[in-house]
Amino acid sequence: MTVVTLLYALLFYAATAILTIGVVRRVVIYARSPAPLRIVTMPAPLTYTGVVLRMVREVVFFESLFKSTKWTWLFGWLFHMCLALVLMRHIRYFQEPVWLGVQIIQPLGKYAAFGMIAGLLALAVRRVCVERVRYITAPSDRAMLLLLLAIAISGASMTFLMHTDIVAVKSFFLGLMYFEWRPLPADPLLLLHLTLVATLMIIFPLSKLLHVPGVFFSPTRNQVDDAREKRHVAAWARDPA
Amino acid sequence: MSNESTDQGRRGFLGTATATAVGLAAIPGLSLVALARSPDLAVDNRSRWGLLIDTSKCLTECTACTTACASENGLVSHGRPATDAQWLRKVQLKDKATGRTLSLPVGCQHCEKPPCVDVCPTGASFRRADGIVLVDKHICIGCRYCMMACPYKARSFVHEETHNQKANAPRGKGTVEACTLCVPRLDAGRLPACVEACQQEGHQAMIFGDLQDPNSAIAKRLAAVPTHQLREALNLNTGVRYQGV
Amino acid sequence: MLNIRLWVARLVMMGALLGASGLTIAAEAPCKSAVDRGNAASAGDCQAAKEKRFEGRGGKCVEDEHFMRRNHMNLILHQRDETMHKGIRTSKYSLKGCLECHTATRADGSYIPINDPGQFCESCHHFASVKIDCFECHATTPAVSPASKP
Repeated sequence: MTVVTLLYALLFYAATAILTIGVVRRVVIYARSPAPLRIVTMPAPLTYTGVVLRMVREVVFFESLFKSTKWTWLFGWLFHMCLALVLMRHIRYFQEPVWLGVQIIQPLGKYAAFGMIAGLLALAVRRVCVERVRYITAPSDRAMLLLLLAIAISGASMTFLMHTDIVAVKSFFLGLMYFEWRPLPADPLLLLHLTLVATLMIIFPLSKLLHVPGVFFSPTRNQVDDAREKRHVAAWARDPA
Repeated sequence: MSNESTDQGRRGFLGTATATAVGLAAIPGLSLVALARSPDLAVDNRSRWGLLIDTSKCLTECTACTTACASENGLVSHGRPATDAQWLRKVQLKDKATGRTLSLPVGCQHCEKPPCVDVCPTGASFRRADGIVLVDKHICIGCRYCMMACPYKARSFVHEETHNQKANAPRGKGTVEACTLCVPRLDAGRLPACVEACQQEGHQAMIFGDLQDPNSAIAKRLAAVPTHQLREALNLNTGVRYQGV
Repeated sequence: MLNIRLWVARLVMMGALLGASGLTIAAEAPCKSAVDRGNAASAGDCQAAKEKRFEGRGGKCVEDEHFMRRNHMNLILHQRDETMHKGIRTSKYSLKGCLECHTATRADGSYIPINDPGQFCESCHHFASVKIDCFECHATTPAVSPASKP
């Protein structure tokens, strides 16, 4: 058991714990936060099924972003879709045997890395070159983009430039999951990639990446437009019965 | 048309030459092709491989060349002649005016200006520096444009899944293939399977060699007797020539 | 109230981290098939998994294992262009050469196709979920007759 393996095993156990506990805590907070008024953005669905469909369109096509700024939508959507493909392809490191869905996206996952990098670069350029966006940009926004860019570039470099022993990497992660530890190959690019990913996992519950669970609790999206049919009374405003 | 005695003399000479050649070929390691190139070196255009077919020696009922080609390259018949792979085929010609019949093997002509290379959208169909036209199956997408472009219908498409391929002849479903002049054997200094089979049968109808080497048997024969390319008017400068067509 | 909850949470976290470190330092457990299915060589002392898969004849590959595990695909992909377009047939990196050492034999001496489940290529490739299509065209066993060898 080398120092590197031990270090990264501990790092990933800690990062997973922080990520899970942090996100669960936040989701509970969001679920408990009151939504006092019907503030759903128009045009709004009139039934709950409509709300579900709207949420699906929002998450899959970024509908509201498309309606506002097309360019931001283009690069943001490109980045997110490619990220989804890459993440799905990464599931292969945590499963044995691997799901059929993950197996068949093999060719897509490889090239989605480029889409990710292109989207992120465009978004970063936007935060520097578009004056109104630059004015409202905080260091954390830039840091988040750079972190994701570094993760994408280090990952793509391993696929296309300097390969690593992915069979050993998969063994390492399966080992963490089943508590039978296997050595991690100490390739510098791999260690960089893993460190950055662990960093991302640790700051996830403290950052704006919480928009991932957050969008589902957003009252402008997840309310039904039935303010005239049903009187909306918040739980804390009800008459004590 | 030469008269009877000249024919006899020529046949006699060829018969002796055949016996010597077959005798020499029987010695292991020795080949009739110029010294085998070291496998680490790239091919270059100092040689140009060519084939000369003497149709007067090619017998209508003989299929030694096509059988050898099929067995060397693992071509399997599925009982569907319209779509089975065919690298070399025997063509029977008949002159309507005189009634003269002719038999000749036709496969890829290894042109100097191959139309199949021109039309290939991916670059899979290419001409190697030493004149052999090949399909790079790693790049081939199976569009079959080359099959349409070839004036000699030399190329075939693999419709079925392949099994038990020969180690020297990788073939796969969905790619296009054609005569390779047995390139792995050639690079090792041996003759193509069809030529070797024809020699073993004793017909001596096929001569293989370096067209650019003035001392090779094929170059000498080409300089001595009238030979033709198939569909000469296309100006493709084929590597396969026919005598007596 | 809040204080106790906070402290319980902190203790649980510390306990989890300490427990993880303790287990990590403890001796490694014997192999389970899920972890080591395709990975006999890097399992270290996992003898059972190692014996399950045939590694290769000759004791030594053309390059060392560290290099091969990372870069064998580059050799294959580069070499095929060299061979097809330039006629370079160095046997060191040829696919046929790989097959000569890495195909297992049955009891009667016949070769097992190299892309069968559990064989050399497929075991790691299945583990890493990377599809290979070399053997849709290429022969899966070494050429037996010496006349066919280049």
